[in-house]
Amino acid sequence: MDINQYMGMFLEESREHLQNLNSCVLQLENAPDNLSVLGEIFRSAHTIKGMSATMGFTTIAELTHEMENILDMLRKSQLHANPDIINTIFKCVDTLEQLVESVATNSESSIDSKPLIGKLKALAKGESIQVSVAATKTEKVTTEYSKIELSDTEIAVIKKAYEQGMNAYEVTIYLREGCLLKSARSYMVMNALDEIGEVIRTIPTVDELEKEKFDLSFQAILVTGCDTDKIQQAVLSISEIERAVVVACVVPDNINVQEIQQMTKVQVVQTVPANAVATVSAAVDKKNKGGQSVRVDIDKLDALLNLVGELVINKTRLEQIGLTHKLVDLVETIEQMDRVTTDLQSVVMKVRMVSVGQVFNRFPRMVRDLSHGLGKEINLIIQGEETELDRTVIDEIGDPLVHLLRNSIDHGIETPEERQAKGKNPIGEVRLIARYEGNNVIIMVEDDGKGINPEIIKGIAVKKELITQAEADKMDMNEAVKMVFLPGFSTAEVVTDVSGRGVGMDAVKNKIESLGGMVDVETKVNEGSKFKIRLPLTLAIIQALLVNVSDEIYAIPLGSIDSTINIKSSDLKTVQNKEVILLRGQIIPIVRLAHVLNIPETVEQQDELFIVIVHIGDLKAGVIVDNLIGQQEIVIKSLGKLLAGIKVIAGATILGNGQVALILDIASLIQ
Amino acid sequence: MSEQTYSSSDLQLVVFKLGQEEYGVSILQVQEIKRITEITRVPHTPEYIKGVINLRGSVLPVIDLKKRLNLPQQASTENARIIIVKVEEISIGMMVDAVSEVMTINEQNIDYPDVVVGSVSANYLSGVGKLDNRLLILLNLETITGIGQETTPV
Repeated sequence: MDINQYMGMFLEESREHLQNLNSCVLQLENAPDNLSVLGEIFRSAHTIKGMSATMGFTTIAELTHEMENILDMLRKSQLHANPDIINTIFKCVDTLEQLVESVATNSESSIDSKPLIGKLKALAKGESIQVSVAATKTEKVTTEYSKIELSDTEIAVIKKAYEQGMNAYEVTIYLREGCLLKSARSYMVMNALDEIGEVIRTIPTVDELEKEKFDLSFQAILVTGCDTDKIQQAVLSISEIERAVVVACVVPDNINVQEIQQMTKVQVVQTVPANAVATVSAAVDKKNKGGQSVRVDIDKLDALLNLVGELVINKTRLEQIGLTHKLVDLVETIEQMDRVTTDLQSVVMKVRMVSVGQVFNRFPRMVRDLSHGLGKEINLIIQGEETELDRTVIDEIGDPLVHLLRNSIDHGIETPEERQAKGKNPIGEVRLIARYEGNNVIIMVEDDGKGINPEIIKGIAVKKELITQAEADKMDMNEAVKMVFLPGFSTAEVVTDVSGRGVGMDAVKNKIESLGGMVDVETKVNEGSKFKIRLPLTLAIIQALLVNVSDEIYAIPLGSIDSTINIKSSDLKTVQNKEVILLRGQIIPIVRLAHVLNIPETVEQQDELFIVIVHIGDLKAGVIVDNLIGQQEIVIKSLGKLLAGIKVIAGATILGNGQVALILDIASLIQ
Repeated sequence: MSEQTYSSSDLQLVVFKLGQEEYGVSILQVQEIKRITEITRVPHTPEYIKGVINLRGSVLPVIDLKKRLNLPQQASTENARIIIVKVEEISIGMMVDAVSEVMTINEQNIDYPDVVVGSVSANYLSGVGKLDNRLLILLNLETITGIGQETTPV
């Protein structure tokens, strides 16, 4: 079987399940008796096992198998989830992650899972006298006969069938080698079986069959009045079936208690605890009702988005032709088209939106490990994980958040003793909050730790020669605290494993700014700090105001525009040699765009000035432009590698007439 | 890139003019040749960057080649063109005075002088082609565009 085509799916799903495992085991640690969480863990582990076995990754399959045994015992309350077990499970998850990643990079894995397997076995044996196995079925790909253990309900069904004079058979169907549409064949087989009787169970589950998560054979338990020949006939009437083995089901009077079977075989080994499957299929049923989804390569979405972008540009072009030539019919038609393209665009944008929960998910585990390592007790509170952001932003936002969280935990939160001495709750609190704010998404990392002391910051900055003493004396609190974002700054006196190498915060700032966002910090000594990240919802298509400066056209993102005003040049005041205006009691500094953009001023001083009031966070500024052209939807294009990193310019866009206009970077304009 | 082309003994060049001098770039690096269109100035860029143009929906930087090579400026004529070249996967436009022809030149006819030829610094040269009475200056696009290395200030 060519497994390469399934590789991407395997990796993606494995990662998803591992992520799920991580968060569930964390929950389990807090509530060791929560059966539904255990069930969830079990299902994830089980799926990983099934997938890896199918793909031939025996190490992963073996490890998950042992893990499953422990989980099963936990679920049956034969074991109690003590810290030792939880830690071992965490280790398993870590090892599995490494194993999966080594599969991904196609590298020979040097990871030895033997000690862990040993540990798991010891846990299983050492702590319970009666080790019971729900049902262990070993199935080699080549074996012809296998015995499926049945769940209580299934046994009941079969017994009832006996009473009605019917029989239960175990049908093993082998597909022909090279069979192309395995799921379709299996579906046909199931249909055929359903016609002559009732299929009460399949291995793997129907859902997995549909997804082709099996090798060349699968099994079904059939309750029917027909005999074996009839069943054989029914199955073999379908093409591409190699053969079908039908054996009568053995119904045990009571479930046997046996020792765990040692699994040392290198073949594909699969164990299916009977009631686990029952819950799996129940969960699968639930999922199917919840809605269907399709996995799509992000590149395809990007291509789609690009096409929509082109469409928007061309639509704008048509609009202009209609207006200049006064073609009423065309203008009306384009208005219709406008509605459709707007809808199309918003749908495409929505498709690319991913909830930040995807990134947040991995943090509880990280915080747990960090706080354990540092001997601190920390409560991580996550809010607003359903907030959605563009996929490209999501992919990039993880690392900066890791930095911020680590900083909060390492530098922010004090040790329990210190906290008690300060009269605080010994358990520290770190909050990770996401929410919408206008056209932006705000992500905050907040802690109730010791805060950032501006005096200490100044001291370090002077010592590291980032600023002079004189500069430090002039600085106010806010400015001082913002110095944590300077390159080469680190406040930790000791460089720990976690942080303090001084590369953190400026890297965070750079990354956020490269995403078109900004980061800010608020802090109070002994009360905690709050890092606030502001990110644009999407990076591709925005509403913008087009303005004229001399004969050049620039676009200002509408998201950062407050208002536009019209003033007399006599309304301009100067404060400390800088031009300002007074707007509703607020002093707003003025930026002359022509100046900033090095445009030779050809137009003589106008008496009437157009000012666009822009804002970034709480900062406001008035931008003097020559003329306002109007609001338009623009598609953001990058200026390319050669021109990357130009101050004041955030990108470019193509106007309706095909001309290129530059998009202003308001953040750098204000600073 | 250049190694590839020079390994075969025949080299196809797009020949263009800057002032009175003739220049050449390997045809393999040329994507297309365009008439001069509207170029949008980009502030805060080196002087030799003329601006950006719209090439079927994507935004491309355009270099004023004469400024880049420190050649005397003169008003552009009807014949002026933008040659779109691709350097290490990045497309860039180069403004030239005229594009004259595509010609084949044998490797034997190319010299690699390490002194300054004409007014162009050796840094931007990859060689000089001799053909009958003509001298063709072959440009090193990597250094000219500043891609793949530190930009050398002119």
